[in-house]
Amino acid sequence: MPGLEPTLLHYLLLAAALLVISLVGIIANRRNVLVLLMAVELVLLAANLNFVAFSVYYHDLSGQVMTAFVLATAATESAIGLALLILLFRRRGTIAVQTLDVLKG
Amino acid sequence: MTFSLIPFLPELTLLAALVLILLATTVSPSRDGTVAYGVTQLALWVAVALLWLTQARYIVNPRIVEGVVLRNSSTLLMQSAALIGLSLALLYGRASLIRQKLWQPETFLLFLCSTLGVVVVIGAYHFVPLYLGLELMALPLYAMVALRKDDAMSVEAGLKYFFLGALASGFMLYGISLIYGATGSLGLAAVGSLAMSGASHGLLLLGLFFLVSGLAFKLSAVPFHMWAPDVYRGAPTVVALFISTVPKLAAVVLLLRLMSGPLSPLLVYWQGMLAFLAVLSMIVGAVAAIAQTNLKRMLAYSTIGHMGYLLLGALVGTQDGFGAAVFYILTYVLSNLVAFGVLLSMNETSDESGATLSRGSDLEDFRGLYKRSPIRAALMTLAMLSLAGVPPLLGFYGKFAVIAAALMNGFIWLSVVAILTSVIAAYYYLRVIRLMFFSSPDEERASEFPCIGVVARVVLVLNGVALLVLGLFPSALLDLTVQALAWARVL
Amino acid sequence: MSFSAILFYVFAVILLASAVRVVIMQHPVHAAMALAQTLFTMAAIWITLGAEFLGLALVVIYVGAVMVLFLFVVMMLDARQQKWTPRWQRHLVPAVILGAVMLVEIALLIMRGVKMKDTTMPVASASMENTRELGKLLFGQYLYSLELIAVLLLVGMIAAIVLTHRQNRFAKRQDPAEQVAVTRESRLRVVSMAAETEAPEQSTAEPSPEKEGGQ
Repeated sequence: MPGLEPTLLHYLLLAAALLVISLVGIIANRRNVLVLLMAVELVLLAANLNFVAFSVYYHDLSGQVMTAFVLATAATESAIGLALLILLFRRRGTIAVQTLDVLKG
Repeated sequence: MTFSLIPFLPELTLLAALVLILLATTVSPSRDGTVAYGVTQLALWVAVALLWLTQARYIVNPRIVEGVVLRNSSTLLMQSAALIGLSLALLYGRASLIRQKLWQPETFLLFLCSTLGVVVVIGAYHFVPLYLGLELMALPLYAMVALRKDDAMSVEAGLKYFFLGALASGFMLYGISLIYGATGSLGLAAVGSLAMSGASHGLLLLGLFFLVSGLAFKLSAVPFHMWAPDVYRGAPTVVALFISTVPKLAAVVLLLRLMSGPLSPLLVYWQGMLAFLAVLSMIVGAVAAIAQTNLKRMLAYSTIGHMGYLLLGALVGTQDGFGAAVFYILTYVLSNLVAFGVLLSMNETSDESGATLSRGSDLEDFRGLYKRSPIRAALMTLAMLSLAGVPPLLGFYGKFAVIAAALMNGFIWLSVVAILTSVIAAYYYLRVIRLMFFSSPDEERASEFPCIGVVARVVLVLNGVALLVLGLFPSALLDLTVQALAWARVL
Repeated sequence: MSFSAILFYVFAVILLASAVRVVIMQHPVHAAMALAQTLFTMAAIWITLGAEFLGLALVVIYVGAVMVLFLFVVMMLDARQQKWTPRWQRHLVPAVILGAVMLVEIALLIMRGVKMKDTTMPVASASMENTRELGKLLFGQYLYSLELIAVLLLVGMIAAIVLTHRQNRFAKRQDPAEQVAVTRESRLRVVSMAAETEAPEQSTAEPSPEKEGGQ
């Protein structure tokens, strides 16, 4: 078990906890798609924390470079996801998850 | 720090086309996509030409540029395949795009960007450009699926695809972060040597698990396949064609590159995971397609099944397995191009509200196609037989290579599953042929065929004939593939 | 326990709590605010780790741009239309149990996997080197990736505009291409019917045209 001083493990476990919270949120969400998009942002955030923590631990800046790129990518992803959400809202008038049933899967 | 731009000419050509189209739209206010189409096709073929002219030297001398980018014979082969794939997809889809009022410059911008992403992924040798290439490949696709904004089915498909795709990318990124943590480096070369020395095996494995999950999504392998039928059905058919061919090339190269190089010490774990994915994919692809009444959904499940065979070839883990996998994806792309090409030449229409009638892509629309258009029926037959793996079509040799590699390396049970599912799957491919030849046309559904350009017709016929000819002389393509991989050394 | 340790635990608790609030909150504006709080706290953690450029970038880009975008979209979506009722207790308990199991599994794997002898984190130096070193890398070794991210941002912009841009919906306009492309089949459908014969009613036939003519 990790001790009291924050070590690498603490950061990794924190990131893992974020990942799991996000997944639980996705599974349990029955209200709207917006929360689903936010949960995806949380997953990316967890990965970023991993990158930064390892980068500091290894004294290797490439992890932080990766994080910088991921930040930009996540922003772009959000933009497109929100655009799709707006399209959905214009079509269906609501963003409840239940209404995503036109396609039978 | 300066470096030569020569190795990056293909990407630069695509980028130049992007910029040119953007500039052209500011000059001319018309929303017509003809100029953009011309620029795109020109750029694609110029890129292929530049690729071969400038990078032929890397066939014998593979080179890693600046530690981030790889240039060797396999990147040459696969990047050319990706560029030619887009060119053919756009050629076949031209009439369909015009009819659906998607003949706009933006459509080509999105296609170009996605293909640029594919080219980047195929050439990447570092996790940073790799991830960026994957996102560049995927983000335009999310928008392209929902391009028919008035169609509720399209928008829903786009949103579902986006959400699942973003989640899969997130998982993949988490996996990459763990691999980085286990090895301390993001460059694939360094990861390879560090993984070999047994660094943090457990962390590496966990990272691999997440990475494979994300990758399986891109490949539409079970159980990450849920998006495929909906997306193929809801997206414009050209987009479905593109999704089923070009990005898969990138995903396959990524998979094989990781397996054969940096993460090869974990081969045993790879094989376990991939076997699980492969078996499920083959079974689902064979069984679920039987119940489908819409050809696009059927082709989606067909793709899922094919990815199963591909994974079988990959998991073998030896050079002949990898060669078989690459050969398989190339035969699959060729066959799918013909199948979708014929579908694109059918009259898929929308009603006034913009909602897509499934008319044109339902199986019922192929009833008696032989009487209405023998050429289309013949081409579709070639495609269906090739996808089913019937000799002497090209598809047969793809399956044969994969199953042979599996048998030779001791994967008996997997080979048995592969053969069995192949036989079961043949049912729905042959059903299409039966509908075309042995049923009479449905008068209500039979509508006139849209006007297809001469070039598209000729190329489609050549494509279909190639399935037969290359099948009669399989060593042509097979040797090319094997040789490319042999020279590559690093894949 | 050193000050930095206390900081870590405080931030960690806030981080996890606000992350939970993101997925729990019913109203999307509350969820967005919780996400902003999560991002702020994460930036603080990164700054304590010594990655100050990233911490600042997170605040400026993510909170400053992306969360504002989220909130704009939430406001556009007219929250009044939907009742934010908690209709999800059914799925909550199994999901939380599943999540707890997953977390324990991942945690065990991580703890077993980290074979490094010394996992203490280096103390963050007080110098301002971080941004400069990052810049050197970004414009040096990672120049290719930098160009790629530029294209990615461009394509994001194009995609978002393509999806949501609407021509002026209320302007009436004609499209000659569409008008010319109309075919006879799409406008007229000739149906064959059995012939109908008129019953001969001469007595009432004449008054009716006069009535109609008088209107």
